[in-house]
Amino acid sequence: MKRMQRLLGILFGFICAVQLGVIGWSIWSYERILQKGEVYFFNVLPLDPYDAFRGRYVTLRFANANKAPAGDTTLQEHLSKAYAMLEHTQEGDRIKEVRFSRPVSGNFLEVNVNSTMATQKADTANTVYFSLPFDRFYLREDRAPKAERILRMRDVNVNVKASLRVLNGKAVIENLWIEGEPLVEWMRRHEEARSR
Amino acid sequence: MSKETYRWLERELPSWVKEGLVSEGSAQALLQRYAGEKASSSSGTAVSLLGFVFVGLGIISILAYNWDELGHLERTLLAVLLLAGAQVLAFWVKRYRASDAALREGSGVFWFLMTGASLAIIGQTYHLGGSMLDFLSVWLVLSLGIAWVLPSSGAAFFQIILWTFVWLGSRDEMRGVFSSEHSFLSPWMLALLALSWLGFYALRYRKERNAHATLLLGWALAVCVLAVGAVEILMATYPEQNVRMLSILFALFFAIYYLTGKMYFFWGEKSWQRPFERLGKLGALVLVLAHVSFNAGTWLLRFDLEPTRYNSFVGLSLMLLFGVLLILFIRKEQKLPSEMLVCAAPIIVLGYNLLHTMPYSAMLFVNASVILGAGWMIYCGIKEATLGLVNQGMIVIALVIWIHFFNANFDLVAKGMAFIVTGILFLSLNAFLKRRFRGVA
Repeated sequence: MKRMQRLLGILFGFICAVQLGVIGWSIWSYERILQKGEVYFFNVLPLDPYDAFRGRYVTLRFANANKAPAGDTTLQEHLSKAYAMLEHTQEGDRIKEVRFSRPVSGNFLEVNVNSTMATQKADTANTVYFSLPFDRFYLREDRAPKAERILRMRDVNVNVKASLRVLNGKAVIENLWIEGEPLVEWMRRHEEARSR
Repeated sequence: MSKETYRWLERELPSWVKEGLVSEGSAQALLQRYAGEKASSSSGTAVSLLGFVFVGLGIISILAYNWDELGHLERTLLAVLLLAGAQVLAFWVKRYRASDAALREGSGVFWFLMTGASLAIIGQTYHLGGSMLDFLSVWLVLSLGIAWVLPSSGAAFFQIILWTFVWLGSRDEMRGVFSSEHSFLSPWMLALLALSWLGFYALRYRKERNAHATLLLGWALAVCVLAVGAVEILMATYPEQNVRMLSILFALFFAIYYLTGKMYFFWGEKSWQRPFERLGKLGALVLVLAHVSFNAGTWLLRFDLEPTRYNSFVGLSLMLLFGVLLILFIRKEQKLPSEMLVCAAPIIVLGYNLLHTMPYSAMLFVNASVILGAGWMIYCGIKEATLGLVNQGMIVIALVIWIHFFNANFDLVAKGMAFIVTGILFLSLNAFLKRRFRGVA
């Protein structure tokens, strides 16, 4: 009986340690990405759904971030993960190519592979269709529907960008930007202007 | 034995000893025999459980508002503090109040909920992607041992519910309902995780079968197995839209549920203490009644009964299990069971489908079977002086009549009259039988 109690005590401590460890490790790794990661901006189209536990968020549809040329000569169709190579260009940030082996240098992001398409031409690269591992930006409950409404209004032709911090294949969405201004600030200004 | 019955036994035994019915030693032995079985105080545990559940859900809801006034530091601190706080509370209860079942159950549920709250804060703070199923899966894994270490049946109850959601959501065909992605937990891993709460349930059942907390787990188990079984049957028949096979499989499933509930999985004699039996009976009766109408018949018999390899395998397995259970049940009862209609539901539905080339014979068969089954219930009820059974049989007959009545194109006045006549018949027959049964007693 005593041995059983001791065993349960050890199990108790183990569960507490694992739970706190997982939470602590998550915080540490995401904070590290936010502090040390390189910033990339992508155009997005936000939509507003609801999560019962985490609250309201806007779903982000990343423009030009669902297909890219394959960096490898042979397509690895059985793999569900791949690495999108990111680059800054004059026209904006973009995904240059997708590789199936983990790159040793450069900024890259782990993505989920949806499908691949082999090309018939020798001088053109194969295409990889993928989705980014994040698509949510959480907002205060009352702000998310407003954000979506404002962004969808036809008379407001605005360019919405998401800034990502990328480090060693992982990324965290840092903020949503509208014409160079954080979404929340922009909304506040927009609402004030409308009420006047 | 319930607490009330134990108290009654305690009160009665001294007079039995005085009257010489039992000796002093036997009286003590009887009290000791049932002391371990008496159920713990239900109201205290229930209130404590509800209290902690409301507080926990309240905290999750407030956090889901997503306060943008809080920075990363405050949010992450909150996540850690909530989890650590719940752990400290659970530790304190385990160390200093281990005998207080209400507090132990409550702290287990609170710990379980705060694990989810903590994960939710991390998710919203770092705008983590992934589906709801991923979130629930992480929660399921992280809260796995909580029920065991306290121990807390309340935490196990939520584990079972959570596991069922993840299992159902992981089924390919259910992805559209729950989320668009798979859980990272494979079916084999989920099956292994189920062993955790099944093991816990088995332990509770062996130690405190009649405790209310064990009954609560029994209900969770009954509802979740029903949900999983129903979805599996749907999956087995969905690709071919095989509605007739679906009804046969469901009839077998409900009858099995009823029989196992009647023989093995029950926690007392009252209806709320017999979840498997009640759910099985309700399902079987609803299913059989769904076959009695002529409109349902013309719709249902349009479909072909095309068995595939998979649904035939499921059907034969269920049929085998049903056959074994039915034999065991009849051997145990030593007579035809009063709720024969429920036990015979698969045979009625199967017969109905075999007669599909003669739709009128099929419908006549199912109607006659239901009326006979309900009549048998009434007969047994009168013989055993059980008013509940009589009423049950009468309700089934009344439902058959109403179904046909609504199928026929009568006007509202006629339908209204039918309701009134049935109501008066019920009331008068009840009053008559009550008086008669009182006379017998």
